[in-house]
Parts: sequence; structure tokens; C-alpha cells
Amino acid sequence: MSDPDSRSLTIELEGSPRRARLTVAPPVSGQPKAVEFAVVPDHGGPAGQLVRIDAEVIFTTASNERDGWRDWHVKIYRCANGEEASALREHLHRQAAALQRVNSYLPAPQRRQAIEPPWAVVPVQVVRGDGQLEEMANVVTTRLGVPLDQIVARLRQHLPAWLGDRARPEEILFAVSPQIDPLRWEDTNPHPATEHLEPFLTLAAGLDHLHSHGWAHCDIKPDNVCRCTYAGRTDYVLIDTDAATRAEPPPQTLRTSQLYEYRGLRQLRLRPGHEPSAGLFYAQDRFGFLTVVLSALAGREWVDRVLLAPDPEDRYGGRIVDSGERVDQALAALWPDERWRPLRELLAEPFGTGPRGQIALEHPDPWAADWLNRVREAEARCVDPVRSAARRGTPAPWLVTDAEVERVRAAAQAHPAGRNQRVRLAYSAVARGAQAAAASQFRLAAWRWGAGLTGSAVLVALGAFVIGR
Amino acid sequence: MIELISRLRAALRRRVAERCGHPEDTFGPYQHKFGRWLDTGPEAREDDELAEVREAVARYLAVAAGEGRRWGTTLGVIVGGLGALVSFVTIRALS
Repeated sequence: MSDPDSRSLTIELEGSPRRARLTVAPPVSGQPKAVEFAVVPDHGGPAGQLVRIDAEVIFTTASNERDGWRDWHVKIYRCANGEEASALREHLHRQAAALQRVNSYLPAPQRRQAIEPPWAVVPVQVVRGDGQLEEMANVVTTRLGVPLDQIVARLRQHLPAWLGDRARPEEILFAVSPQIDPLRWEDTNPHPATEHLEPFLTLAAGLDHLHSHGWAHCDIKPDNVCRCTYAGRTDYVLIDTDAATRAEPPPQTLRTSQLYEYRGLRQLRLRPGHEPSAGLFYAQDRFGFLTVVLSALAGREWVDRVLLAPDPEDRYGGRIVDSGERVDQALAALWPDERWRPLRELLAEPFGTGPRGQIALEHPDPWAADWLNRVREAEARCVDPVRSAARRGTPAPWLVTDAEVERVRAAAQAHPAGRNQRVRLAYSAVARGAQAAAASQFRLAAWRWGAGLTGSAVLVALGAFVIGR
Repeated sequence: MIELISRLRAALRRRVAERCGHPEDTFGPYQHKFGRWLDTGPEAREDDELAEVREAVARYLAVAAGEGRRWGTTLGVIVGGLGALVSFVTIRALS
């Protein structure tokens, strides 16, 4: 059963026209993590009744030897028995299908295959440990005219030794997903880093689609947002869909990160006895999305330290982030310039209790894309009157050539980075360019004056010598 | 002499960094426009936003270039003046 060659575990993913063959690497850390799922029983059961499944998960990676995405992320689930593995497989399958459906609704004129980017949520394929075929039929349907994909995931060989001697194939499941780049978060941004807003558009649209289908991701936080650069565009994409669930009917249990928990769900957790509503699950996603956008704009460390900290003025133990007014104050302290007021107001608005706050967050109607567009419009209103004096066709100052300015842009574009990384690269390139311009002008002026004065003196002295004779 | 020049260059680097400030402080306020300028190529049609950023980058580089020029002029005048004095005196003495 166990394969003595620990590097030989391969998985095949077939979907026209591409075929990937993943070689799974042994995990760096062999310590499994315990996870708990609440799933619908394998063979049905009373409506709404869920079965608890405890599983162990090992994280590792895989590389693709054939077409498509090169690096993959692999989760290996081990269940207590085959029945639980089967129920968990159905559960993961439903999750993957619902989330992939969201991606298929995103506009993508260049997409040849439904599992190609753009993605709002990174697609996941479920693979059976017993080597049997796993088909995701009728999953990747789209209204964009992309043909139905038959994604077949098949385990090519038996289980490797590093899974342990006790591993039984029918108790093992793999969840494979393309590995995308992690986001680099700043600690605190003294100016709103609004270059992040555009890459969030796809994620916002996907979140609205997810909610319109009655599903919620439930664990949106900075750790679960990565960057996908594909065909010249960069999108921020949700990863880790383990906690995704149907919001209607609302589940009785929820796996979420407490730090990024929406106040309504936190109150339920602290004072149990009430049934959660579906709106709370949508609000949880939207609250997570807000904290992610704010982490990008204002800095992740600032969001964790300031917004998610307990509010000293709230005697009921609330956090700053539980009040729109307090969030606005915190943003005003971070970005005090009055020009940022329209942006600050839009960013703080959803944390309030009004129609554009709590009511909108908990309502099933789409919210994220509209809010993000309003934030972008607000940003456009943050005009600095001093800077708006620039005119088209203004030549560069005479000490600097257009080529030197272009070099900054070229240096930033030379790396396959997303826009936020590109901005950081450009800052370095500008600083380097400034030093190079200073050194060049320094040399030029020193030589001109040094050689000029010395040469002039030589000419005068020689002239005087010739005239004197 | 080489030691003196390398010290002078280091001092100039510090001065430029101090005079220009960190690029983030200068370009952060341009918000999304800076990222937009970076994404476009030089052949793209330039609107007011792109012109605004291009001019800001040129201004930033010009401040540094001006500082280098000032230091170079000072050094050139000192070295050139000394060179002129030595050349003049030498030629006069030889003649």
C-alpha cells in the first residue's frame, strides 16, 4: 500500500484542452493539523441535520510537469474511516463546485477553459486517495459560452511512505489548487495606498455572485487573500475555502477567525441561544472584505492594532471596528489631511449602523462591487489643488532628460509584479535614479569647472609668455 | 585623494536623500495615479493625471540633479582654481 519512493505521488487533472500532471512533494512539516467539518451526511438524513467530521490535514505542494499552472498547493485530509471520507469528499465537492461557479460568472473574454483566471476564489479540485476517478461533471457551467468542462482528477499511484504506515487509501482525500503569490502587506501607510483598489474589483464581483447563490466564504481575512497575475492583469483572489458554506439555510456552526469576526456573530458566540440568520454570514464575508481592503490601504499592522483593538470608550467591550464613527476618527488620525475626507467617510460608512452600514452588510442584495466603486469615486474626489496645476506636454526640468524619467518606469515594469509591488519597485527606482542624476551632474560640473579654470589659466599664462617674448 | 572623493560622494548621497526625501512621501499622495503611470508605456496617450505624475518624477530627479550640480560646481571651482594657480605660476616661473 505504501510506496517506498516518497517522491513518486502524482495526480492527473484532465480538462479539455489541458492536462496537468502534478508531482506531490513530501510535506516540509509532517505535523498534521486537526480540522473539524460539519457536513451533510453521505446518504442524506433529516433536513438541516449535519454530521461532525474530525480530520487531520497536511499541507504540501506539487509541481506540474505538463500544461497549465506550474506550482500547486496540496491539502491532504485524513479521516477516521471511509464513510467519513466519503461524506467529506461530497462536502468539499459541493464547496468547490459553488466557488468555481462564481469564477465562471466573472467576465473573461480571453478565457479558453473555465478553470483559467480571472478568479475571485482560487479553484480547488478534489482527488480521492483510493485512486478512483473523481469527476466534477455539471460543475463548471457558465453563461459566457465556455463549453462544459469535465475535470477528472485521478490519483496515479499508491500512497507514499510519508503519509504514514496506517494511512488507508479510502480514508485519504486531496484538495489541490493552483499556488498563487502571497500579498506583501505594509505595516502602516501614511497615505492611502489606493493603487490596491483596482485589483480588488474581481474579488468584489465574485463575492456578490457567491452571495447571490446563497453561499458564504466565512473566512475572509488578509491571510486568505493572494495575488494572481495572469495575462497582464493582477487580481486579488481568495484562498482557503474550507469554511465556505451555504448561508441559506444558515448553518448552526461556523468556522471563522475570531479576530476578523463580524460583531453580530461575535455577539451570538458570546451570548448563545439565538439562531443565526443568513444575513450574518453575508455580513461576515463583507466585514472580512472591509478589513482586507483597509489592511491594503492603511496597513495590516495598523488595522490589527487600532481598528480591531477593544474600544476604551465602549463599556460593553466592543471594538473600534464596531462603530463607524470610531473608525472614521481612527482614519482621520492616520490620514489627517482634509483632502482625504471623502475617502475616509466611504471607508468608515459600512462599520456604522445605518442603511449603508449594518443594514446593507446583512442584506442579501449585492453590496461589495457597488461599495468598492463608490470608494474609487470618492478617491477621485480627493484632489490636491496644489498638484492639479500640471499640464499635458509639460517638458521635464532642464537638468533631467525624458529618458531618465522613463528609466524609472522601465525599472518598475521589468519585474512581473502586481501594481502594489510595482509601486514599491518604482520608489526604489526613483531613489536610485535620483542618486544617479546627482552623481552624473556632480561629475559633469566638477570636470567642467576644474578643467575650464585650469585650461583658461594655462592659456592666459602661455599667452602672456608668447607676448612677453 | 581617492579617500577624499569617496567621502565626498558619500556625503553627496546623504545630502540628496535628505533633500529629496523618501519617494513614498512624495509619490504616495498621487494615489492610484502613480500606479497608473507605471502601468502605461511611454507611447501611450498622456492625459492630465499621467502628465502630473511624470512631471512630479522629473521634479524629484531634478532636485537631486541640481544638488549634484551645485556640489560639482563647488568642487570644480576649488580644484580648478588651485589648478589654474599652479599652472599659471609654473608657466610664469619657467618662462
